[in-house]
Amino acid sequence: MKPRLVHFVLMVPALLLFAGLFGGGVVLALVRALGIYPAYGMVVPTLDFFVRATGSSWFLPSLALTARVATVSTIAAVMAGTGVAVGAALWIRPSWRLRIALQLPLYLPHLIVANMVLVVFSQSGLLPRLLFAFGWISEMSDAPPLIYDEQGFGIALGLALKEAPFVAVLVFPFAASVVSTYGRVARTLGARAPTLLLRIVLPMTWPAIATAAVITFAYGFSSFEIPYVLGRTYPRTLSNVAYDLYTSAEPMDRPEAMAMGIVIVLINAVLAVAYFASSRRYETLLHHMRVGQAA
Amino acid sequence: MNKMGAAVVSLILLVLAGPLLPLMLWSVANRWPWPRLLPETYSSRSWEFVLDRDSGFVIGLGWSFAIAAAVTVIALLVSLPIARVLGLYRFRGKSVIEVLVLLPLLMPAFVAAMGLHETFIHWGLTDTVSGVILIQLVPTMPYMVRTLSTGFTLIGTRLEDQARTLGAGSLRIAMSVTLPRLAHAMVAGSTFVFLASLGDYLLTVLVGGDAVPTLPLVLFPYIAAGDRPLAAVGSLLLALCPLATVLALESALANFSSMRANQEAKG
Amino acid sequence: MSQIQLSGIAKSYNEQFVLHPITLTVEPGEILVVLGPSGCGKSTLLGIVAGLVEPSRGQVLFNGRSLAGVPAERRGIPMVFQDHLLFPGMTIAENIAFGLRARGVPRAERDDRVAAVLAAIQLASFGSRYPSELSGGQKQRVALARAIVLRPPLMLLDEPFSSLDSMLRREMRDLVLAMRREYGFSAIIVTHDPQEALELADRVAVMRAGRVEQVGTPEDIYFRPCNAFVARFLGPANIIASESGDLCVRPEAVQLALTGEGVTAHIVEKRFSGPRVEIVMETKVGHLSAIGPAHAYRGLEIGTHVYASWREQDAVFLRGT
Repeated sequence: MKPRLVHFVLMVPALLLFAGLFGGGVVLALVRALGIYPAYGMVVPTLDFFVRATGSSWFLPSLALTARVATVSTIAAVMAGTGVAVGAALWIRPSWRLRIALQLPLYLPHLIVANMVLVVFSQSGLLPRLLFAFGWISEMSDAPPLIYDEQGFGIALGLALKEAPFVAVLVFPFAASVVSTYGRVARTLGARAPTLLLRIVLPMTWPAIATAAVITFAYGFSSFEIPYVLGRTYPRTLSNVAYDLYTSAEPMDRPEAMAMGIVIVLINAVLAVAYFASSRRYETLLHHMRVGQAA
Repeated sequence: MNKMGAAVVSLILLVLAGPLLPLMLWSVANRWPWPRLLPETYSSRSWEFVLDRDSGFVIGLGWSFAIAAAVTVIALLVSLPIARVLGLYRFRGKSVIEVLVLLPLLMPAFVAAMGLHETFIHWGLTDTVSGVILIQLVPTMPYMVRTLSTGFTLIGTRLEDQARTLGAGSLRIAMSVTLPRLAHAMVAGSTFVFLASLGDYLLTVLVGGDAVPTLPLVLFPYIAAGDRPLAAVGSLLLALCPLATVLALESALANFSSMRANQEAKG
Repeated sequence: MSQIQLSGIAKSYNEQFVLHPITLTVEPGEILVVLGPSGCGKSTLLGIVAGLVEPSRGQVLFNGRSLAGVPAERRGIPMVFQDHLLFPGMTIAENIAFGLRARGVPRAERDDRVAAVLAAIQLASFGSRYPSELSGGQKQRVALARAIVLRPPLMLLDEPFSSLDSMLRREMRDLVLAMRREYGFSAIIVTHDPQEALELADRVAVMRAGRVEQVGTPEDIYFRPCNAFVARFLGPANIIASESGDLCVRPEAVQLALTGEGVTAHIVEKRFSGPRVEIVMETKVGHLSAIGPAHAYRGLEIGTHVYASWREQDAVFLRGT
């Protein structure tokens, strides 16, 4: 169906918000990152701030940390989220209670999730105390340093906890739809759970899983609160570094912060391309689901 | 439900309830030294402190609620038209608009916030509630648009077209035919936007600073300082809102859906 | 011994009975058609036999052994659905081979059996195509083949031809009968189309609102329906009330004459539908229909007075309601 003029007009407020707030914000950040600061008499674009941001000694470790926690948390979240979604689709009767249960962790604010991880996994947290009770460790310092560690395990854990429900919620409808249609046929043809899983459910929900993975990675890469609470002073994730620069007392740190921000945006842009490439198959899947619902 | 189903449910419950338990214990703990599994002494002073008006927690919750409600309503109103067009029509340039709309989902919103900061200062939007509301729309609207447009696509236009041939006007159709069927998507989108706004820290602190002390802003220093009991109470407070909201909305939706299903079966 | 025995099978959801206790048997090699209007519970019944739905009461016996607690994937009773549900990511050959592979049948034998059944459904060269490339009728044939290749003793078909046009439906009916001759399976077929039931079935079970109204051969239930519902569901029927009870006379058994004995009637409608004509008449016992070839009713027009009669053996008293 083709839209009429009035439809285009109706889109204007939203488009203004998107283009103005988001587009404008990023463009302004770029402008500042290029060193254009009329208030300080700087009007010539320069790449100095980008060089400063990416050339300093902490950039690569930060980049590595950010990429590492994003990758690890995405793998964990996708595996856990898909596992739960598929398990629920195969073995639990669908109900609104089930859907809520899957979604609840999703709705917990980042700060809460970070705090939860802290309370359970820090060296004085619940997990070490359990280990102590079982007699596996004898001192607090024997507990594995899961938080504030160099590898960023705590950050990855927090991110995974926040992201796994998202993956589960995204994948579940597709898994459930596949199970109730193709799954039934396959069962009467003799397929047991492993065959169902590997040859029917996973292949057919794959586009949804791939899309979820891309979104999850992008999210983990630019996440702020969780690394802020659960990370060390060094190295810090790129978003934390940008924030520190931005809020520092030095006015010339601001453009550097913007440059850092632009770098993050660029990396996320690459991911966005990956997302849009994978989402085409996702849309087809959605279309099939809709047709299946109608039938 | 068979064994596997029970296993999955147990897993979900463990992940959900597991971390909440220690938080609840911390919130009522007086002394809880290493390596005890349970607090040594209990006390209600953390809760008393938090619930006291002067501590800023309850006021912060009020701020958070109000802002979240505003953001949700605005997002809903602004997103409905564009979601409808994106969900039901095809036109040249549609992909471009779709990309524009979805981009903020994948991009860190705080970069835009940093870029806009000086403009906001110019317009007098920093340290104001309006500024915070505006900036929170950035990461939340894409989700609302996406959810609503998927909803529109799923319900199609058949019923609306039929109503139109029966002579109903556009507004009437929108209110009595479209919106009820969109209820599910609207609730899903609104829930997410509401809770995303409720729990936001970074954008609020960047734009609003100390002038807009939402609950996450009040809570954060306690977490950072390692004050476990107070941080626990604040966290529970902040966590309870989403839980309660989601449960209430979804059960209302479930009743609404079954009511409508009964109606449709009879009609 | 019956191959399938349903004894006292009932199903309820939240205190609502969708199926009242039902007892049915299927003999080896027999085609039982479960016929009934939408919502009568026939698909639920099929689901219970398949193992996809758990009965609230009763049990299913397969060759004497109870199937209670046996999940669908272990019953060896394949099911064909109305929407063919061919696996989209697999070729036709892979689709058909699916059940064999699930059973661990070695590849060489799989390929042979798949090729054989593809030839039997006349899609021999379609093995490497994908479901999206096939037409609706072809897809349904493949769905059938996917079940037949397992050489099951029993097959279940849930309204398998409802989405096809009438010509294709006839072809599919012939195909099922031919396959049954060749492979010798028994089948429970669910349908709402009485013609399909009459043509395909060895026996028909007519269902309404969760109960089986009558079970019998097609001739049995057509010429000797037990109540008005069954009578009307299987085709046009004249139901005449009398003091001794309701009488059912099929329109094709009604003979019309311009003179003579019989019920006086005058024609109010004459409908032509190709090989036959239907005459609707007003009589003092209500409306009456007669059906016959066009030449039999030449000269009879609307308004003509006729006498309607039938042989005694063509009229049946309906026992129930």
